[in-house]
Amino acid sequence: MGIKNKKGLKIAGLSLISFVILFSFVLPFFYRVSPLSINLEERLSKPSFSSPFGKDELGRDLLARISYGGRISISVSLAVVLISSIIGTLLGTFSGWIGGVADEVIGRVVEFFLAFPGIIFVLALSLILGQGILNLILALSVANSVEILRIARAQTIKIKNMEFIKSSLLMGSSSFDIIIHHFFPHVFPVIISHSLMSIPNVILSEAGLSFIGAGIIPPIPSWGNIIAEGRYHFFDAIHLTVIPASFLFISVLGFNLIGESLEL
Amino acid sequence: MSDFIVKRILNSILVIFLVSSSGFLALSFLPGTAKEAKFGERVYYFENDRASPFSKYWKFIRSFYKDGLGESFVTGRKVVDEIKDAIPYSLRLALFSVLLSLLISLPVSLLCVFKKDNIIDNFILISSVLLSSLPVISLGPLLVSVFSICLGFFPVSGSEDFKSLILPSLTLTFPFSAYLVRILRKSLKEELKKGYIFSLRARGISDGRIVISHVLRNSIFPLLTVVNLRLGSLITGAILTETLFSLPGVGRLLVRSISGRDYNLTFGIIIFSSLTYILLNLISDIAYAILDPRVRYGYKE
Repeated sequence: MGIKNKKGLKIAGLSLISFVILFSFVLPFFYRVSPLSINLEERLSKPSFSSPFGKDELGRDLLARISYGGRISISVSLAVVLISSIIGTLLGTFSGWIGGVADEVIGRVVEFFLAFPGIIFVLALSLILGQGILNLILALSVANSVEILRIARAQTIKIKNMEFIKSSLLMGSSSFDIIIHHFFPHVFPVIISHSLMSIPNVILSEAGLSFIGAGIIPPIPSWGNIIAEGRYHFFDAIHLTVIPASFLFISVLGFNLIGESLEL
Repeated sequence: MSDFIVKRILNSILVIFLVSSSGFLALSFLPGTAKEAKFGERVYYFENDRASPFSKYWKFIRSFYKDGLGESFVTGRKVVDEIKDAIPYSLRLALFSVLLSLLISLPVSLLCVFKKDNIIDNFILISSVLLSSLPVISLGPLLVSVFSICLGFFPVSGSEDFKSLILPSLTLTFPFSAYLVRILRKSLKEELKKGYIFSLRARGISDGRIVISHVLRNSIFPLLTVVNLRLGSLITGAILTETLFSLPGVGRLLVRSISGRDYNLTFGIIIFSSLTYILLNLISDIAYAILDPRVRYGYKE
């Protein structure tokens, strides 16, 4: 069913992602221009040989800014996915395995989190925690871990009630043994694939928050706030929005293509 | 059935209480509190005095009972009025874009399933992956640069007429309809594999009738959930789209209230959006139980 050539999707996705990663993490070694140095004489200048993407409203080099912003966006997203998968997995498997009151309490907390529309929740949380990269990571992690928690819990309950767990219990293996040898190998792959698939969402939330000014704060560039600054120059310098917007699109597309190829 | 509904309603009330209380708690810890912004004889909930949290909370409940959500610190108008003014813009955008997405995605996914042509199917699948990865803040500027700046069809921003609604709706419609196509295509294909389709075919019923009166009816449910969630999140503010196109909807109001540290307004919008969300979920759960016999009987077991 669907596309027979899953491999093609995976290769396309991987090459897009490696392009973005090379662009953000390796390019600064060769293109030594500061993303922060201001040069008002060259403000809003068009792309040229010396600055391939042109300059923004303060005359800062757009190529350097997008590269630096990419470094921030990608590192923040990876940190968020890592933290949220750890929290989500621990709480989810715990609540699914133990059941009873603990499960009920965790279920209520999850329901409470889901009572907000996604971005409003992150927005409120980052507002409460105050601005800053660490707080942003924390807010996004909490929001993202709710989804992973639900998946981990559902998968745990499903596996827990399967015959082979019961029969190994009957055969007298310890709970520890069961968890390590029988339980984890079935739960982990599902959680890992869902965590991977949440990467584009995290990138989008980060960019969105920075876009409205609640994420990464302006002197530090991130794709979201570069687009936000660029949109005031729709008419005189459209490249200031279109180029960072395309980078955001490419990275989300790359991760989505891989996600699609992983889907069974 | 009525058992189920009563239980769901009680549960929703509990969640609303939790949301409002924790919203109050969170906002009362924020820096730059109302005391610094106090002027005139206005009533504030989030005063920075040294009272114990419990007495503050009691005060909050009492004033909530007495005069609702209070007034905005910045404009001095009632929070309820501010939100009420913003709702039509968000609602219009939400309904228009969701309707458009449904109109696009239904025929496209039916085409996908009906034409057993792999080229069309693959083309649609790949373009739906492409479209659904388009972020709002990327697609919006791209649409503006093509349709407003190069071609001059639509205004860049504003909220006066229907024309200014088109670009924001398209920004929301493209990714969402692509997402819907992916969901609907999958659930249609799964439904078509089931045994009863085989027996319907064996009885000589045409493909068209099978799809319209049997398959579609069963596979529409995952779509309803998604559409419902989407409506909820758009009514409570398509934050990015509204900011991008300067539409004065709920989302932009929220952003404005946060950047202006207008906590009464922020709190009001958080309450409003969680209420809307919970209400929509409640309605859809009950609708499910009424429409889908599987859910209804599943619950009684």
